[in-house]
Amino acid sequence: MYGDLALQLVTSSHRSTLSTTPQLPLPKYALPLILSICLETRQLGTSISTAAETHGQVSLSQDRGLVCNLTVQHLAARRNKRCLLAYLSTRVGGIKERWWDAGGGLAYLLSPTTSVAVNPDLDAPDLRSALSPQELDFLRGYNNLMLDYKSDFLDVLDLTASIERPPGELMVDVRVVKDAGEVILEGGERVEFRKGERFRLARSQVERLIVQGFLEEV
Amino acid sequence: MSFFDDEAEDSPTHGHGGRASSSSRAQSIGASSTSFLDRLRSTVSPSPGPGHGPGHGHGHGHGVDRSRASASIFDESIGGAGSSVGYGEGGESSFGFAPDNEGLGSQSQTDLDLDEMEEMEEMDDVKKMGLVWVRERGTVEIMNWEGDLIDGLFDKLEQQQKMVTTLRSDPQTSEEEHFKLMLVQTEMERVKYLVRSYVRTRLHKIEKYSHYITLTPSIHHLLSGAELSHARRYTDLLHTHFQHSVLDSLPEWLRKMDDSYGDGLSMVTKPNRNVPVLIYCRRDCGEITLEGGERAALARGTTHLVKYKLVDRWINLGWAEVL
Repeated sequence: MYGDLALQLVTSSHRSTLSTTPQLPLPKYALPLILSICLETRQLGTSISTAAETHGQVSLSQDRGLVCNLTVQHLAARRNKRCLLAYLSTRVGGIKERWWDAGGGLAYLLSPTTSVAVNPDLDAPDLRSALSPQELDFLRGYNNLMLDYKSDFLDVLDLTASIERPPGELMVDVRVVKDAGEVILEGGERVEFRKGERFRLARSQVERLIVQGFLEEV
Repeated sequence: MSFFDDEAEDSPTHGHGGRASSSSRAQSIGASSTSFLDRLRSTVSPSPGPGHGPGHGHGHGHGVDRSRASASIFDESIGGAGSSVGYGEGGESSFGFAPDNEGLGSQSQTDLDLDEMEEMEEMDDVKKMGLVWVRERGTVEIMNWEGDLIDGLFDKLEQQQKMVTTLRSDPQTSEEEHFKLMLVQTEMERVKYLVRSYVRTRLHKIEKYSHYITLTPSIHHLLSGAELSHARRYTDLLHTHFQHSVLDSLPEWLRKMDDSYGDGLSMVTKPNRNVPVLIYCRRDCGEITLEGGERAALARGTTHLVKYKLVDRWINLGWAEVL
Protein backbone atom coordinates (compact mmCIF):
# COMPACT_ATOMS: atom_id res chain seq x y z
CA MET A 1 0.00 0.00 0.00
CA TYR A 2 1.32 3.44 -0.88
CA GLY A 3 2.53 5.43 2.07
CA ASP A 4 2.98 2.57 4.51
CA LEU A 5 6.72 3.04 4.71
CA ALA A 6 6.31 6.76 5.19
CA LEU A 7 3.89 6.15 8.02
CA GLN A 8 6.40 3.85 9.64
CA LEU A 9 9.05 6.54 9.37
CA VAL A 10 6.89 9.24 10.90
CA THR A 11 5.65 7.12 13.80
CA SER A 12 9.16 6.06 14.75
CA SER A 13 10.28 9.65 14.53
CA HIS A 14 7.40 10.71 16.73
CA ARG A 15 8.23 8.04 19.29
CA SER A 16 11.78 9.27 19.56
CA THR A 17 10.61 12.75 20.58
CA LEU A 18 8.19 11.61 23.24
CA SER A 19 10.65 11.64 26.07
CA THR A 20 12.54 14.84 26.72
CA THR A 21 13.71 14.16 30.27
CA PRO A 22 15.85 12.16 30.15
CA GLN A 23 16.63 12.95 26.58
CA LEU A 24 16.74 9.85 24.45
CA PRO A 25 19.76 9.47 22.22
CA LEU A 26 19.10 10.55 18.68
CA PRO A 27 18.13 7.42 16.73
CA LYS A 28 20.25 6.39 13.84
CA TYR A 29 19.42 7.98 10.52
CA ALA A 30 16.92 5.63 8.85
CA LEU A 31 18.71 5.49 5.55
CA PRO A 32 17.27 2.21 4.12
CA LEU A 33 13.73 3.27 4.90
CA ILE A 34 14.25 6.68 3.40
CA LEU A 35 15.75 5.22 0.26
CA SER A 36 12.82 2.88 -0.24
CA ILE A 37 10.36 5.74 0.30
CA CYS A 38 12.21 7.78 -2.30
CA LEU A 39 12.10 4.81 -4.63
CA GLU A 40 8.38 4.39 -4.11
CA THR A 41 7.80 8.06 -4.78
CA ARG A 42 9.89 7.92 -7.95
CA GLN A 43 7.91 4.92 -9.16
CA LEU A 44 4.71 6.79 -8.47
CA GLY A 45 6.08 9.73 -10.41
CA THR A 46 6.92 7.63 -13.46
CA SER A 47 3.62 5.80 -13.31
CA ILE A 48 1.76 9.13 -13.22
CA SER A 49 3.61 10.62 -16.15
CA THR A 50 3.38 7.49 -18.33
CA ALA A 51 -0.33 7.15 -17.58
CA ALA A 52 -0.93 10.76 -18.49
CA GLU A 53 1.10 10.46 -21.66
CA THR A 54 -0.40 7.25 -23.01
CA HIS A 55 -3.98 8.32 -22.44
CA GLY A 56 -3.63 11.93 -23.51
CA GLN A 57 -5.85 14.89 -22.78
CA VAL A 58 -9.10 13.48 -24.15
CA SER A 59 -9.46 10.38 -22.07
CA LEU A 60 -8.32 12.32 -19.00
CA SER A 61 -11.60 14.18 -18.97
CA GLN A 62 -13.70 11.08 -19.78
CA ASP A 63 -12.13 8.11 -18.10
CA ARG A 64 -13.09 8.51 -14.44
CA GLY A 65 -11.16 5.46 -13.38
CA LEU A 66 -7.96 6.94 -14.75
CA VAL A 67 -8.55 10.26 -13.03
CA CYS A 68 -9.12 8.45 -9.77
CA ASN A 69 -5.97 6.43 -10.22
CA LEU A 70 -3.87 9.51 -10.96
CA THR A 71 -5.30 11.43 -8.01
CA VAL A 72 -4.50 8.66 -5.58
CA GLN A 73 -0.95 8.30 -6.87
CA HIS A 74 -0.47 12.04 -6.76
CA LEU A 75 -1.64 12.31 -3.18
CA ALA A 76 0.49 9.36 -2.14
CA ALA A 77 3.58 10.95 -3.68
CA ARG A 78 2.93 14.26 -1.99
CA ARG A 79 2.29 12.54 1.27
CA ASN A 80 5.58 10.70 0.99
CA LYS A 81 7.39 13.95 0.48
CA ARG A 82 5.67 15.50 3.44
CA CYS A 83 6.53 12.57 5.68
CA LEU A 84 10.16 12.64 4.59
CA LEU A 85 10.47 16.34 5.32
CA ALA A 86 8.67 15.95 8.63
CA TYR A 87 11.15 13.29 9.59
CA LEU A 88 14.09 15.43 8.59
CA SER A 89 12.89 18.54 10.35
CA THR A 90 12.17 16.64 13.54
CA ARG A 91 15.73 15.44 13.46
CA VAL A 92 16.99 18.93 12.72
CA GLY A 93 15.13 20.07 15.82
CA GLY A 94 16.81 17.33 17.83
CA ILE A 95 20.24 18.17 16.44
CA LYS A 96 19.86 21.86 17.26
CA GLU A 97 18.65 21.01 20.73
CA ARG A 98 21.76 18.95 21.34
CA TRP A 99 23.93 21.71 19.96
CA TRP A 100 22.48 24.19 22.43
CA ASP A 101 22.66 21.71 25.30
CA ALA A 102 26.34 21.29 24.62
CA GLY A 103 26.80 25.04 24.81
CA GLY A 104 27.69 25.24 21.16
CA GLY A 105 30.73 23.01 21.49
CA LEU A 106 30.79 21.24 18.16
CA ALA A 107 33.96 19.29 18.76
CA TYR A 108 32.68 18.16 22.14
CA LEU A 109 29.34 17.19 20.61
CA LEU A 110 30.90 15.04 17.94
CA SER A 111 33.63 13.44 19.98
CA PRO A 112 33.04 9.71 20.31
CA THR A 113 33.50 9.75 24.09
CA THR A 114 30.59 12.09 24.70
CA SER A 115 27.75 9.63 24.79
CA VAL A 116 29.76 7.29 26.94
CA ALA A 117 30.26 10.03 29.51
CA VAL A 118 26.63 11.13 29.49
CA ASN A 119 24.98 7.74 29.67
CA PRO A 120 27.61 5.11 30.28
CA ASP A 121 25.12 2.31 30.89
CA LEU A 122 23.60 2.56 27.44
CA ASP A 123 25.33 1.33 24.37
CA ALA A 124 23.83 4.27 22.51
CA PRO A 125 25.49 5.24 19.27
CA ASP A 126 27.33 8.53 19.57
CA LEU A 127 25.92 11.49 17.75
CA ARG A 128 28.33 11.37 14.86
CA SER A 129 27.37 7.87 13.80
CA ALA A 130 23.66 8.58 14.26
CA LEU A 131 23.75 11.43 11.78
CA SER A 132 23.66 11.19 8.04
CA PRO A 133 26.48 12.93 6.13
CA GLN A 134 24.00 15.63 5.12
CA GLU A 135 23.01 16.15 8.72
CA LEU A 136 26.63 16.46 9.71
CA ASP A 137 26.99 19.14 7.07
CA PHE A 138 23.93 20.85 8.44
CA LEU A 139 25.27 20.74 11.97
CA ARG A 140 28.58 22.24 10.84
CA GLY A 141 26.77 24.89 8.87
CA TYR A 142 24.57 25.69 11.80
CA ASN A 143 27.58 25.91 14.04
CA ASN A 144 29.21 28.43 11.70
CA LEU A 145 26.01 30.40 11.47
CA MET A 146 25.69 30.65 15.21
CA LEU A 147 29.35 31.52 15.63
CA ASP A 148 28.83 34.41 13.27
CA TYR A 149 25.71 35.51 15.06
CA LYS A 150 27.05 35.34 18.56
CA SER A 151 30.34 36.98 17.77
CA ASP A 152 28.42 40.26 17.70
CA PHE A 153 27.67 39.84 21.36
CA LEU A 154 30.67 37.96 22.54
CA ASP A 155 32.56 40.75 24.30
CA VAL A 156 29.69 41.23 26.72
CA LEU A 157 27.68 38.11 26.66
CA ASP A 158 28.05 34.43 25.90
CA LEU A 159 24.87 33.64 24.06
CA THR A 160 25.25 29.91 24.31
CA ALA A 161 25.45 29.76 28.09
CA SER A 162 22.61 28.06 29.85
CA ILE A 163 19.20 29.71 30.17
CA GLU A 164 17.60 26.97 32.12
CA ARG A 165 17.35 28.93 35.33
CA PRO A 166 18.02 32.54 36.19
CA PRO A 167 21.36 32.78 37.95
CA GLY A 168 20.97 32.83 41.70
CA GLU A 169 24.45 32.65 43.06
CA LEU A 170 27.61 34.12 41.71
CA MET A 171 29.87 31.40 42.96
CA VAL A 172 29.51 27.69 42.57
CA ASP A 173 31.08 24.71 44.30
CA VAL A 174 32.41 22.24 41.81
CA ARG A 175 34.10 18.89 41.91
CA VAL A 176 36.38 17.81 39.12
CA VAL A 177 35.06 14.65 37.49
CA LYS A 178 37.50 14.45 34.62
CA ASP A 179 41.01 15.81 34.28
CA ALA A 180 40.81 19.05 32.39
CA GLY A 181 44.41 20.16 32.70
CA GLU A 182 45.36 23.74 33.34
CA VAL A 183 42.69 26.27 32.55
CA ILE A 184 43.17 30.02 32.40
CA LEU A 185 40.13 31.78 33.79
CA GLU A 186 38.76 35.16 32.88
CA GLY A 187 40.60 37.04 35.58
CA GLY A 188 43.91 35.66 34.34
CA GLU A 189 44.43 33.15 37.13
CA ARG A 190 45.42 29.63 36.22
CA VAL A 191 43.69 26.68 37.76
CA GLU A 192 44.81 23.11 37.47
CA PHE A 193 41.78 20.84 37.42
CA ARG A 194 42.70 17.38 38.62
CA LYS A 195 40.18 14.64 39.20
CA GLY A 196 38.60 14.63 42.65
CA GLU A 197 39.57 18.16 43.62
CA ARG A 198 37.03 20.73 44.70
CA PHE A 199 36.91 24.41 43.85
CA ARG A 200 34.75 27.40 44.52
CA LEU A 201 34.66 29.55 41.40
CA ALA A 202 32.51 32.08 39.64
CA ARG A 203 29.72 30.30 37.84
CA SER A 204 30.05 32.22 34.59
CA GLN A 205 33.69 31.19 34.30
CA VAL A 206 33.27 27.47 34.66
CA GLU A 207 29.80 27.04 33.19
CA ARG A 208 31.21 25.62 30.00
CA LEU A 209 33.29 23.04 31.81
CA ILE A 210 30.24 21.95 33.77
CA VAL A 211 28.20 21.56 30.58
CA GLN A 212 30.94 19.51 29.00
CA GLY A 213 31.13 17.20 31.94
CA PHE A 214 34.58 18.07 33.30
CA LEU A 215 33.19 19.56 36.48
CA GLU A 216 30.22 18.65 38.58
CA GLU A 217 28.23 20.94 40.80
CA VAL A 218 28.26 19.97 44.47
CA MET B 1 10.52 40.18 35.26
CA SER B 2 9.40 39.36 38.79
CA PHE B 3 12.80 38.56 40.20
CA PHE B 4 14.06 42.03 39.51
CA ASP B 5 11.31 43.90 41.24
CA ASP B 6 12.69 43.96 44.74
CA GLU B 7 16.05 45.36 43.72
CA ALA B 8 14.39 47.99 41.62
CA GLU B 9 12.62 49.41 44.67
CA ASP B 10 15.86 49.92 46.52
CA SER B 11 17.81 51.56 43.83
CA PRO B 12 16.77 55.24 44.16
CA THR B 13 18.44 55.51 47.59
CA HIS B 14 21.72 54.27 46.19
CA GLY B 15 21.45 56.49 43.23
CA HIS B 16 21.09 59.75 45.09
CA GLY B 17 24.04 58.99 47.32
CA GLY B 18 26.38 58.71 44.41
CA ARG B 19 25.15 61.32 42.02
CA ALA B 20 26.66 64.40 43.63
CA SER B 21 30.30 64.11 42.74
CA SER B 22 32.31 62.71 39.90
CA SER B 23 35.74 61.22 39.54
CA SER B 24 38.19 61.12 36.75
CA ARG B 25 38.30 57.36 36.75
CA ALA B 26 34.65 57.03 35.99
CA GLN B 27 34.84 59.62 33.29
CA SER B 28 37.54 57.81 31.47
CA ILE B 29 35.41 54.69 31.56
CA GLY B 30 32.50 56.62 30.13
CA ALA B 31 34.54 57.97 27.28
CA SER B 32 36.14 54.70 26.34
CA SER B 33 32.79 53.00 26.02
CA THR B 34 31.83 55.17 23.09
CA SER B 35 33.81 53.17 20.61
CA PHE B 36 32.26 49.99 21.90
CA LEU B 37 28.84 51.52 21.46
CA ASP B 38 29.58 52.55 17.93
CA ARG B 39 30.87 49.15 17.11
CA LEU B 40 27.84 47.49 18.59
CA ARG B 41 25.50 49.83 16.82
CA SER B 42 26.90 48.90 13.48
CA THR B 43 26.00 45.30 14.11
CA VAL B 44 22.55 45.92 15.52
CA SER B 45 19.58 47.44 13.74
CA PRO B 46 19.33 51.16 12.90
CA SER B 47 17.67 53.10 15.71
CA PRO B 48 14.00 53.85 15.04
CA GLY B 49 13.50 56.83 17.34
CA PRO B 50 15.25 60.19 17.14
CA GLY B 51 15.70 60.30 20.91
CA HIS B 52 18.19 57.46 20.95
CA GLY B 53 21.06 59.15 19.24
CA PRO B 54 24.64 58.22 19.92
CA GLY B 55 24.76 60.92 22.56
CA HIS B 56 22.66 59.25 25.15
CA GLY B 57 24.61 56.11 25.80
CA HIS B 58 27.92 57.34 27.01
CA GLY B 59 26.36 60.12 29.05
CA HIS B 60 25.89 57.66 31.86
CA GLY B 61 29.54 57.36 32.57
CA HIS B 62 29.85 60.86 33.95
CA GLY B 63 29.01 61.62 37.50
CA VAL B 64 29.70 58.12 38.64
CA ASP B 65 31.90 57.71 41.68
CA ARG B 66 32.91 54.85 43.81
CA SER B 67 29.82 54.44 45.95
CA ARG B 68 27.69 54.83 42.91
CA ALA B 69 29.57 52.15 41.14
CA SER B 70 29.06 49.70 43.92
CA ALA B 71 25.34 50.33 44.19
CA SER B 72 23.41 48.74 41.40
CA ILE B 73 23.00 48.63 37.67
CA PHE B 74 19.61 50.26 38.00
CA ASP B 75 20.98 53.57 39.14
CA GLU B 76 21.91 54.93 35.81
CA SER B 77 18.51 55.60 34.38
CA ILE B 78 16.94 56.70 37.64
CA GLY B 79 19.66 59.01 38.80
CA GLY B 80 21.06 60.20 35.50
CA ALA B 81 19.01 62.98 33.96
CA GLY B 82 20.53 62.31 30.56
CA SER B 83 18.84 59.00 30.06
CA SER B 84 15.38 60.11 31.08
CA VAL B 85 15.55 62.83 28.44
CA GLY B 86 16.56 60.33 25.82
CA TYR B 87 13.73 57.94 26.51
CA GLY B 88 11.20 60.71 26.95
CA GLU B 89 11.74 61.88 23.42
CA GLY B 90 11.78 58.38 22.06
CA GLY B 91 8.43 57.72 23.64
CA GLU B 92 6.91 60.89 22.25
CA SER B 93 7.71 59.97 18.71
CA SER B 94 6.59 56.39 18.79
CA PHE B 95 3.67 56.32 21.15
CA GLY B 96 2.18 59.76 20.97
CA PHE B 97 1.99 60.69 24.63
CA ALA B 98 4.55 62.98 26.11
CA PRO B 99 5.77 62.73 29.66
CA ASP B 100 6.77 66.24 30.64
CA ASN B 101 9.44 65.40 33.15
CA GLU B 102 12.40 65.68 30.84
CA GLY B 103 15.54 66.51 32.60
CA LEU B 104 14.05 66.22 36.07
CA GLY B 105 15.17 63.88 38.78
CA SER B 106 13.17 61.06 40.22
CA GLN B 107 11.52 63.12 42.98
CA SER B 108 9.30 64.93 40.55
CA GLN B 109 8.08 61.63 39.26
CA THR B 110 6.30 60.90 42.50
CA ASP B 111 3.99 63.84 41.76
CA LEU B 112 2.61 62.06 38.75
CA ASP B 113 -0.13 59.60 39.38
CA LEU B 114 0.51 55.92 39.59
CA ASP B 115 -0.55 55.21 36.05
CA GLU B 116 2.01 57.56 34.60
CA MET B 117 4.63 56.16 36.94
CA GLU B 118 4.28 52.78 35.33
CA GLU B 119 4.66 53.91 31.76
CA MET B 120 7.53 52.53 29.77
CA GLU B 121 9.23 55.90 29.57
CA GLU B 122 9.93 56.23 33.25
CA MET B 123 11.07 52.70 33.77
CA ASP B 124 14.71 51.86 34.01
CA ASP B 125 16.30 49.75 31.35
CA VAL B 126 16.35 46.52 33.28
CA LYS B 127 12.68 46.72 34.09
CA LYS B 128 11.92 47.50 30.48
CA MET B 129 14.08 44.58 29.46
CA GLY B 130 12.00 42.37 31.72
CA LEU B 131 8.79 43.52 30.10
CA VAL B 132 10.18 43.13 26.61
CA TRP B 133 11.44 39.68 27.49
CA VAL B 134 8.08 38.55 28.84
CA ARG B 135 6.34 39.94 25.78
CA GLU B 136 8.71 38.15 23.45
CA ARG B 137 8.25 34.89 25.25
CA GLY B 138 4.49 35.18 25.54
CA THR B 139 3.68 35.78 21.90
CA VAL B 140 3.96 33.68 18.78
CA GLU B 141 4.96 36.39 16.35
CA ILE B 142 8.32 38.01 16.27
CA MET B 143 8.25 41.36 18.06
CA ASN B 144 10.17 44.49 17.33
CA TRP B 145 13.91 44.16 18.04
CA GLU B 146 14.71 46.41 20.98
CA GLY B 147 18.13 47.37 19.72
CA ASP B 148 18.45 50.59 21.69
CA LEU B 149 17.51 48.92 24.90
CA ILE B 150 20.05 46.17 24.35
CA ASP B 151 22.66 48.75 23.37
CA GLY B 152 22.01 50.65 26.53
CA LEU B 153 22.21 47.58 28.70
CA PHE B 154 25.40 46.33 27.04
CA ASP B 155 26.89 49.74 27.48
CA LYS B 156 26.13 49.73 31.17
CA LEU B 157 27.26 46.15 31.61
CA GLU B 158 30.56 47.03 30.03
CA GLN B 159 31.00 50.03 32.31
CA GLN B 160 30.04 48.10 35.41
CA GLN B 161 32.44 45.33 34.46
CA LYS B 162 35.27 47.81 34.14
CA MET B 163 34.43 49.45 37.44
CA VAL B 164 34.19 46.12 39.18
CA THR B 165 37.55 45.02 37.80
CA THR B 166 39.18 48.29 38.80
CA LEU B 167 37.71 48.27 42.27
CA ARG B 168 38.49 44.63 42.89
CA SER B 169 42.14 45.05 42.19
CA ASP B 170 42.26 48.26 44.23
CA PRO B 171 43.79 47.49 47.66
CA GLN B 172 41.90 50.40 49.23
CA THR B 173 38.56 48.73 48.63
CA SER B 174 37.12 47.79 51.99
CA GLU B 175 35.52 44.53 53.04
CA GLU B 176 32.05 45.99 52.81
CA GLU B 177 32.67 47.30 49.37
CA HIS B 178 33.86 43.89 48.26
CA PHE B 179 30.55 42.54 49.41
CA LYS B 180 28.74 45.20 47.44
CA LEU B 181 30.79 44.31 44.42
CA MET B 182 29.55 40.76 44.74
CA LEU B 183 26.00 42.05 44.63
CA VAL B 184 26.75 44.12 41.56
CA GLN B 185 28.25 41.13 39.82
CA THR B 186 25.30 38.93 40.66
CA GLU B 187 23.03 41.61 39.33
CA MET B 188 25.04 41.77 36.15
CA GLU B 189 24.74 38.04 35.69
CA ARG B 190 21.00 38.34 36.06
CA VAL B 191 20.78 41.08 33.48
CA LYS B 192 22.92 39.03 31.15
CA TYR B 193 20.58 36.12 31.68
CA LEU B 194 17.65 38.32 30.66
CA VAL B 195 19.32 39.52 27.50
CA ARG B 196 20.53 36.05 26.64
CA SER B 197 17.13 34.53 27.06
CA TYR B 198 15.58 37.35 25.06
CA VAL B 199 17.96 36.94 22.16
CA ARG B 200 17.57 33.19 22.16
CA THR B 201 13.80 33.37 22.27
CA ARG B 202 13.97 35.53 19.19
CA LEU B 203 16.41 33.19 17.53
CA HIS B 204 14.11 30.30 18.17
CA LYS B 205 11.22 32.12 16.53
CA ILE B 206 13.38 33.24 13.66
CA GLU B 207 14.54 29.72 12.95
CA LYS B 208 11.04 28.34 13.26
CA TYR B 209 9.59 30.84 10.80
CA SER B 210 12.76 31.54 8.82
CA HIS B 211 11.22 30.82 5.45
CA TYR B 212 8.17 32.93 6.19
CA ILE B 213 10.35 35.77 7.41
CA THR B 214 12.54 35.77 4.32
CA LEU B 215 9.49 35.71 2.07
CA THR B 216 7.70 38.56 3.87
CA PRO B 217 9.49 41.88 3.43
CA SER B 218 6.87 43.69 5.50
CA ILE B 219 8.18 42.20 8.73
CA HIS B 220 11.85 42.73 7.99
CA HIS B 221 11.90 45.98 9.92
CA LEU B 222 11.13 44.04 13.10
CA LEU B 223 14.47 42.28 12.95
CA SER B 224 17.96 43.52 13.44
CA GLY B 225 20.39 43.26 10.55
CA ALA B 226 22.15 40.32 12.07
CA GLU B 227 18.88 38.54 12.73
CA LEU B 228 17.66 39.07 9.21
CA SER B 229 20.80 37.67 7.68
CA HIS B 230 20.61 34.80 10.12
CA ALA B 231 17.06 34.08 8.96
CA ARG B 232 18.15 34.10 5.32
CA ARG B 233 21.18 31.95 5.83
CA TYR B 234 19.34 29.55 8.05
CA THR B 235 16.63 29.10 5.44
CA ASP B 236 19.28 28.39 2.85
CA LEU B 237 21.06 25.95 5.09
CA LEU B 238 17.88 24.09 5.92
CA HIS B 239 16.75 23.89 2.33
CA THR B 240 20.12 22.71 1.15
CA HIS B 241 19.98 20.05 3.79
CA PHE B 242 16.53 18.94 2.66
CA GLN B 243 17.54 19.01 -0.98
CA HIS B 244 20.62 16.93 -0.45
CA SER B 245 18.97 14.47 1.89
CA VAL B 246 15.79 13.54 0.07
CA LEU B 247 14.36 16.05 -2.36
CA ASP B 248 17.02 15.42 -4.99
CA SER B 249 15.93 11.80 -5.28
CA LEU B 250 12.27 12.64 -5.71
CA PRO B 251 10.54 13.36 -9.04
CA GLU B 252 11.20 16.88 -10.18
CA TRP B 253 7.75 18.28 -9.57
CA LEU B 254 8.05 17.37 -5.89
CA ARG B 255 11.26 19.25 -5.18
CA LYS B 256 9.89 22.65 -4.30
CA MET B 257 9.96 24.02 -0.78
CA ASP B 258 7.01 26.43 -1.03
CA ASP B 259 4.16 24.23 -2.23
CA SER B 260 0.66 24.43 -0.92
CA TYR B 261 -1.24 21.25 -0.30
CA GLY B 262 -4.72 20.62 -1.60
CA ASP B 263 -6.23 21.55 1.73
CA GLY B 264 -4.59 24.98 1.60
CA LEU B 265 -1.79 24.06 3.96
CA SER B 266 1.40 25.76 2.88
CA MET B 267 4.90 24.41 3.34
CA VAL B 268 5.94 27.79 4.66
CA THR B 269 5.26 27.78 8.36
CA LYS B 270 3.55 30.91 9.59
CA PRO B 271 3.02 32.01 13.15
CA ASN B 272 -0.38 30.86 14.31
CA ARG B 273 -2.09 34.08 15.26
CA ASN B 274 -5.10 32.26 16.62
CA VAL B 275 -3.42 31.04 19.77
CA PRO B 276 -4.92 32.40 22.97
CA VAL B 277 -2.91 34.75 25.14
CA LEU B 278 -3.51 35.83 28.68
CA ILE B 279 -3.23 39.59 28.87
CA TYR B 280 -3.33 42.17 31.60
CA CYS B 281 -4.49 45.61 30.49
CA ARG B 282 -2.24 48.40 31.70
CA ARG B 283 -4.49 51.01 30.14
CA ASP B 284 -7.98 51.20 28.77
CA CYS B 285 -7.83 49.39 25.44
CA GLY B 286 -11.36 50.04 24.25
CA GLU B 287 -13.56 47.23 23.00
CA ILE B 288 -12.83 44.24 20.85
CA THR B 289 -15.24 42.16 18.82
CA LEU B 290 -14.97 38.45 19.49
CA GLU B 291 -15.49 35.72 16.92
CA GLY B 292 -19.16 35.24 17.69
CA GLY B 293 -19.90 38.93 17.25
CA GLU B 294 -19.84 39.52 20.99
CA ARG B 295 -18.07 42.61 22.25
CA ALA B 296 -15.73 42.72 25.21
CA ALA B 297 -14.33 45.77 26.94
CA LEU B 298 -10.65 45.72 27.84
CA ALA B 299 -10.73 47.99 30.85
CA ARG B 300 -7.61 49.03 32.71
CA GLY B 301 -6.42 46.57 35.29
CA THR B 302 -8.40 43.62 34.00
CA THR B 303 -7.14 40.25 32.81
CA HIS B 304 -8.40 38.46 29.72
CA LEU B 305 -7.81 35.29 27.80
CA VAL B 306 -8.30 36.10 24.12
CA LYS B 307 -6.99 35.17 20.73
CA TYR B 308 -3.70 36.78 19.98
CA LYS B 309 -4.75 38.36 16.70
CA LEU B 310 -7.50 40.33 18.44
CA VAL B 311 -5.20 42.11 20.82
CA ASP B 312 -1.84 42.20 19.04
CA ARG B 313 -2.09 45.99 18.59
CA TRP B 314 -2.33 46.61 22.30
CA ILE B 315 0.44 44.19 23.08
CA ASN B 316 2.71 45.92 20.58
CA LEU B 317 1.95 49.30 22.09
CA GLY B 318 2.64 48.00 25.55
CA TRP B 319 -0.86 48.86 26.69
CA ALA B 320 -1.55 45.24 27.39
CA GLU B 321 0.91 42.89 28.99
CA VAL B 322 1.20 39.22 28.20
CA LEU B 323 1.17 37.11 31.30
